[in-house]
Amino acid sequence: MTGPNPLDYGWWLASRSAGVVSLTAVSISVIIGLLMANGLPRKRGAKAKLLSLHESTALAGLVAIAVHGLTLMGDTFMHPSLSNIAVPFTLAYRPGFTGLGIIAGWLAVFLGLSFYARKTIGVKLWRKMHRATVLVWGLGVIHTLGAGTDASAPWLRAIMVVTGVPIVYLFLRRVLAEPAGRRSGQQAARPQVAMAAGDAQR
Amino acid sequence: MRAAAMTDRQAGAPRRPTAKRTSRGRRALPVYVTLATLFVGMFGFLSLRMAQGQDPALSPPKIAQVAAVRPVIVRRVIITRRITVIKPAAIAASGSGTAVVSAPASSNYSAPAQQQVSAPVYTPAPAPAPAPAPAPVATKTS
Repeated sequence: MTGPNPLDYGWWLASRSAGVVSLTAVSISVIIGLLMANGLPRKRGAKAKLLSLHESTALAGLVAIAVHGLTLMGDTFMHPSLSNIAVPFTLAYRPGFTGLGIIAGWLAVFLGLSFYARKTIGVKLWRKMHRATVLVWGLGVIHTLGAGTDASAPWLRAIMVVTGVPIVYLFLRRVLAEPAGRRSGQQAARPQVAMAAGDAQR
Repeated sequence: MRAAAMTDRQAGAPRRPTAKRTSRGRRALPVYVTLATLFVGMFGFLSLRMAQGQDPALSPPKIAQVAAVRPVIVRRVIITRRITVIKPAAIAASGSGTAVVSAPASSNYSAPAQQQVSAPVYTPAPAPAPAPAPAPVATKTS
């Protein structure tokens, strides 16, 4: 053992670990959401299971995001305050990229938890809002690449590629297929089916 | 009897939301356990890399390490020109045998302006010994 003692950097290591977990969880949740939006799982039972997985990974991602920020407060090098981790662009360390990460975190909270208020805000509005969830993933990736300590590590890049390729593919498929569906009068049938399965679940 | 009543009530009544939540919670539990395990695994992995000196933020980059190991050759060229000026008149007057000599001259080197060094004592070379007289020419007369 030739390096520094990891116990001296426990909070920082915890924050980095939570960051990786949050990116992974959000990515899986977005993949599942896009799969359902594309109507790819044909079986009804599979849809219900995927919806449960979508919800639980999203919730776990939100918890991991919170842990990622809160544990960073214990770091002796940056030592950010609560406002530094809550207000975008106020952290001294790479304020642009950390600011984008904070925006992604707040978006994840509002867009993710809006599911439980969809009856109040209206299903249509909620659905429109929920489509922006892919932004959370995009901002999270930019934040990771720009401010992540392990951004240059091959293992983290592998995680981002493995999760990013299906997200980009499914997102493009959804976006490009949508106008064709509207022209042929099948206005957004697939997402409605997916949502119907979700509402039936609940 | 009581058990039968409970069975009837369960069979007749619609499913409660709490039952649904329990089912969803059971489904979600493996997800939470998996991600918690991932968190612990990541923490251990990053700690191990840090202890091995491979943390990207705390360890120096590999290029710098290689550069430090490689021997660095520094060539230093020192050109020293020593000019000795011997003043026979001054030596003859003082008789001490010391003379003021200019400092070594170099293009980049700044040396003390003047240096007291002992100069060689000027002594005139001894006169060559007189050549031996040529042997007398002997002639034999008979």
